Amino acid sequence: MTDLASTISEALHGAPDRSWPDERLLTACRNGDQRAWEALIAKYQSMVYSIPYRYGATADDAADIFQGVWMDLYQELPHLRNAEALRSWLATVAGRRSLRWKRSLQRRGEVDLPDEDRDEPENADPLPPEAMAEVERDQTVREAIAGLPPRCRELVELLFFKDPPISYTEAAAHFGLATGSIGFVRGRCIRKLQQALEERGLGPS
Amino acid sequence: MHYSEGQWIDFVRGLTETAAAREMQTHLGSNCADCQALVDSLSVVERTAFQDRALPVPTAAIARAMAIFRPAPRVSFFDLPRVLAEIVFDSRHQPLLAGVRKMDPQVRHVVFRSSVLQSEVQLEVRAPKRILAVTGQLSTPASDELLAKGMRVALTDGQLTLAEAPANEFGEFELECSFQRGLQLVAWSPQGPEAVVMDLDGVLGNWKQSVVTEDGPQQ
Repeated sequence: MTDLASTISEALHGAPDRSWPDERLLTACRNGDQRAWEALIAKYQSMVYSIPYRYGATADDAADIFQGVWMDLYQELPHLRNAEALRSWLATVAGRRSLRWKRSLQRRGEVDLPDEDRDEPENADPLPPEAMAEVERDQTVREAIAGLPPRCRELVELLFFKDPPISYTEAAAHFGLATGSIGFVRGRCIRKLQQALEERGLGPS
Repeated sequence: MHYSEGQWIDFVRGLTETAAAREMQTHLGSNCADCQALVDSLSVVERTAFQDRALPVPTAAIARAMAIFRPAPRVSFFDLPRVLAEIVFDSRHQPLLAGVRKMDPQVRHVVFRSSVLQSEVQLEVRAPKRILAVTGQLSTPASDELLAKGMRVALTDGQLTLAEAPANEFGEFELECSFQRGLQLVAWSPQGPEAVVMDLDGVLGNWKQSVVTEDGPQQ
């Protein structure tokens, strides 16, 4: 048997990656491509994992909720119609699972829920609009970075997401550059990043 | 004097020494629009990065999420009701352009249509091994839903699947097998409702002889 269509598609577009649009990743998942599933997780993992913490979840509970969200997505894969809404779908499912977790603690008397959470129906939007806006903004930033050319993406992630922070000498060594050259590359990448943020409505205020 | 991007990155990350940070803050206060725009952008990134640094997703949680995925067992077109597509275009039956003496006998263009999809297909026999290469594109005039769900295509001799592949999100596909009798091209969605059968044997029937003549005797 041959799988030439996927080979050709891969030669043209590369392997599934978190910079791919959701629709393409979902289609590839439905076609059984494990790498597309991994790219979906890479794309949204930080967003999904951050939501339980907004409800006060511990690391263990957040990890359980995180896994539950991906199980829900896996089961919904054949039925998800609107790929553009995937981001808010994931945020909503993570919020509902978090709220359910918090209610279970309340039933056991381990936590006291605020009145507004106590009265929320099960299918209500679990995150308040301002929290949802923050979640969306953070995800937009991650996607702007993911959409940069690979070297710029890597550099921006090294400079911002590395903990503890690395020096520019270390960053230059990472890319096999002379320390004096990193400034030029960094300047170019930061300009691309600014442009990517602006395109997504996150330009300077 | 302006500061470099590196200095501003350190500034928004809070890595700049206090005295230097104060000077940079003064510079921003002097209405340097370029630096302010840069700091605004970098601050947006730092706000997200700060949270992600504080809440790294545990590797074990990622591994468990990745392990959830199990490619569903493939639904074979043999499991679905089959409908025969009609031929609405065949390049072999088109008149030659003025001045053209002969068409390339190795390549044919055919369009099939059924109630649910249309398929534009190029058939090419590749000598000397007599491989039939089928490239094409599916389209669903009524709705794009079928393509979005993911369609599969296969070449079969009616009993065995000789080649099978997914169509990409644009409906494009490519398959090949040895050139033989009784070939059918089948397109289907694993969700159904039906598999569309395109009878290549009818298309290739007369063509075989001319291709054989060009290539030498058939085995």
